[in-house]
Amino acid sequence: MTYTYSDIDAYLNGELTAEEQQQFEQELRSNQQLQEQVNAYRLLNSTVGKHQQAEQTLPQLKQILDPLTHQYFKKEKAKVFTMKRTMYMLAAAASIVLILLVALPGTSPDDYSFDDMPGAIVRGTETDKAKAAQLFNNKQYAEAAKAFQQLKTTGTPDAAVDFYLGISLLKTEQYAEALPLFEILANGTSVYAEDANFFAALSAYHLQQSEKAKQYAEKVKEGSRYWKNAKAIIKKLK
Amino acid sequence: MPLHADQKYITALLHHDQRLISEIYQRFAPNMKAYLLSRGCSEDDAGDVFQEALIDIYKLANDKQFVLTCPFEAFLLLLCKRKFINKTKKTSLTVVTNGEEDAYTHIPDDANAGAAEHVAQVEKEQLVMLVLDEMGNCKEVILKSLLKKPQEEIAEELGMTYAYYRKRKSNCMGELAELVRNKPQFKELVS
Repeated sequence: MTYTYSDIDAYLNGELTAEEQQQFEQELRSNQQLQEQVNAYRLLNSTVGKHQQAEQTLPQLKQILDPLTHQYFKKEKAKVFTMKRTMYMLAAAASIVLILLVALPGTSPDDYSFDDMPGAIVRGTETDKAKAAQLFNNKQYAEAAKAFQQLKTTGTPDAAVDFYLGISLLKTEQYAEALPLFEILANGTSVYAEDANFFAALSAYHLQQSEKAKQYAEKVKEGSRYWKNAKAIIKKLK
Repeated sequence: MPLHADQKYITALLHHDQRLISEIYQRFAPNMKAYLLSRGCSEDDAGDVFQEALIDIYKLANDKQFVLTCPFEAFLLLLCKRKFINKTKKTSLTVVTNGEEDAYTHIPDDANAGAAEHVAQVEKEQLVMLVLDEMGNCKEVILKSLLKKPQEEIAEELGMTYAYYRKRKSNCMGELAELVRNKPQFKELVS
């Protein structure tokens, strides 16, 4: 007997009568082509179903992957200027530097930037972490700090939560609470360890713990986005 | 083959575990970047290759049945290599062949067989999805049929009677199976 894909579909969905199923299985035992067709049908069902399911949750994963890929791989593209334009720009920049040197103080320790917290947008479900991230990214630091603290009491340890809680505390001038968080991160192995050196230094600086502030500021490496801020802390402590 | 301890990275991808995913980048991105750059890949492309490889693994493991039988790094390395070679075929990029592989001398030789098996599975599944993508109306029927809702409802949404929808669905699956089986790349992957 020849079986069609409709029969295979009905067999795999358990829609054959007991007698039909027995006949089908009998044929299946001896017919290699039918075995291949059934296996292929089953495999395609599971593969397509799996990929379709993965596509639905992929945007959430990308929220985590994108900033990490950027951090580890991508370099800002250098702009190419003509020599003449470059000379004008250099002259203009030199004038601005001169004016700033005369009129304004240097980089302030508090004049720092940071990235938005990833994971703020979650399609379908809004997790507590996503809500906290949204508050942080909307610069509602007092509310974000509360949300992160709540997460810490219920969730598993998460370096991202600690780091963004620390910044929320800094932004709301709760330096004594921020310092231990950044110290743990600075001495840990998470991706936030290097940046945490600066934030630990800044917290200690505001708490007038000069030795500690200097110790962490000196750990900030040249090339770090916070190197200038760290230098400013060291300069102010002299 | 027994489950490898690095299965934790597969679980991390599935659970969107930020801490362990950061660890994946911390442990494996620098070597992978150095390797790809030594092969003539740009930094931007190296980032794309690495991230796409992680997404491929995420899709492969999405039914939570996948068992990693080799070090995660061996799997990731082979997947990145294959992706980079495919990228060079599609563009004018050329592979530099005198690049260093010293960064990967710590990967044991027996890890490569397991990694090759996993990569072949990834590529087989990609081929299925690629063929499905070119199937027009059949694609819609197949994708809808796999949604977790009553089949009668799906037939209605597609504007078909239930009986016709069932016939169409199984015919489309059959067509997909034949198209995949006849692809030369599929024969290469299963040989």
